[in-house]
Amino acid sequence: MSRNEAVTPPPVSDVGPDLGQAADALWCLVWKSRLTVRRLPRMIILVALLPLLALITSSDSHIRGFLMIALNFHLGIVIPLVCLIQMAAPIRDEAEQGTLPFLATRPLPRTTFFLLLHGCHLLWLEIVFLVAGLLLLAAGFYLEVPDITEMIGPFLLAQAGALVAFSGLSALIGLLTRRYLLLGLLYGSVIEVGIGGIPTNINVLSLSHHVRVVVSVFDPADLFLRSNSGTALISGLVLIATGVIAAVLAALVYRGREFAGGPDA
Amino acid sequence: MTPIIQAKGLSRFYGIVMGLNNVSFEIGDGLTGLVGPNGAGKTTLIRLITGQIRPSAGDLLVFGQRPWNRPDVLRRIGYCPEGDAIHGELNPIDWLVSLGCLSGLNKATALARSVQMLDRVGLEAAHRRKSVGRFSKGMKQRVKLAQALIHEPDLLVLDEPMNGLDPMGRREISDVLLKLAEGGVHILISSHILPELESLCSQLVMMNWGRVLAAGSQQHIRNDLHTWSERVTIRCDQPSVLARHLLDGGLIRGFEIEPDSDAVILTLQDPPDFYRRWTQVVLESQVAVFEIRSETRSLNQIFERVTT
Repeated sequence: MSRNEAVTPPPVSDVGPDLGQAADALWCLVWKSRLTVRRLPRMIILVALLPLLALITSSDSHIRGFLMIALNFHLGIVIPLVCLIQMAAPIRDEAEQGTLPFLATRPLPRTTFFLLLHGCHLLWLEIVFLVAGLLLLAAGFYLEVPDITEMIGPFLLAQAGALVAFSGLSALIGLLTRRYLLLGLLYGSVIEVGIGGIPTNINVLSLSHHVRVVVSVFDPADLFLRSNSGTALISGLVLIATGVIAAVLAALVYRGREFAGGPDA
Repeated sequence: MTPIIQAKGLSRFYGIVMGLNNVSFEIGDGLTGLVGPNGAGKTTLIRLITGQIRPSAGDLLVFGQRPWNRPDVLRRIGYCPEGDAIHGELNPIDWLVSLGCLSGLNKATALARSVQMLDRVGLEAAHRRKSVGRFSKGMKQRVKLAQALIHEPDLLVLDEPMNGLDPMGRREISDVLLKLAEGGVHILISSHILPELESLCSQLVMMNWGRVLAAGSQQHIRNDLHTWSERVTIRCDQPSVLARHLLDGGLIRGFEIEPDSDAVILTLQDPPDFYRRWTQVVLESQVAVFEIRSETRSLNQIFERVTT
């Protein structure tokens, strides 16, 4: 169709949304699609399971059993696994559901869009785990764990840092490969469990080590974990920096990758 | 002055699978129909136009720029994807407000526009606070169209928007599109059913096997495609003799004799050449011709013929 008399584009007055506006819009989409009647039971189970487990298993040795659940199981296993499942594939999930085109064709740079979407999903996870963490601490209070109130700060900070770090890493793995679960589990078993468990300085490569250092500000946790080979502030910064760097790298990967499916049906 | 969409040697491959193969065309203003059977490459082309994928080779310009990762281009495009996947947990108002804000509107404007667009596409007020996931396919199509319109784009790209709509719904949406086009919005609308677009679009792009078969006004395409496979019926006293002479003269590709009516149906090799030379061949064959009849086909018949 040769049309020499084609149209002059009208002037573009407004390139796109500002960051706050876009973040607000994505946040509304994320929380409103998560907080639904259909998804609520699953979320309640996730939030209430660990406090219940703590109450059941800690009846004989209050401190040790509770710390085992809160530190080893909750911070060491549940958070990394939930991050891997929830945060590795927001883009893939949207693409597979067919809803990505509605978002990805909006006037946002691809890196910005990815970082905002990641941030919204992370914020949602932080809120859910804040509730779960407080319930877990309430269970500790009920079990009369000594000085439990002193654990609130270090525990919640360690949890928040762990979520940032493992979410960023999961997002990167999720964009690099479709088999992110396999790669994530491999990473977890080699780096977090394997290297992280070696009682020398090499364990600083493990994010779980830094989570343990942050929570070890609480003395009973320090005695339980015996991981006092670092300062909490530096470990906290390592967790946040790892999460941010990994998320930025993931955004750069997303900038160059297509997630629009295959050829026409 | 530049066309709205301009493709030059555009190809797109998915591994070894071909989506688009070296297509070149231009799309100007107004309503343009993109038509082709399933697998023709329409959705691939639309994904390229809306910046979801990049070309494997060649170039595609929308408003004079490559659309991949270009917010200034995407700001001017409204896109309604194929299929009925939608953020089903949300109600249409919430969904449209969020998408409107992502397109650069503030919340108050996005809310006002949401209501306005849902009015325009004919979604009844009673359904506007229900989850989109509970909607029928036709209702989802209307909401999808509303989200494409919310930021008042200059170019509206609609991938099979009539799917799932009843005849009345199709007419309503057609009216909406015609009004938008009258208001200066450029519209590219895809369908695998030509009659759906024939009455709506002044311009057409016909696709098959990842290639553009024809592009332009309906009349231009009719003339262009008519030469592809024209058939002529001649009634005469010796059909087989005439057919042999025409075949020997290289004027036809094939023929079919109807013994009951003394007619021969000819498939022409090159229609302009046939009409130039056929009288001479008939004179040489000494056959008495009683009637000659050329098939006049509708655009749809031509389209079906070249795409099957």
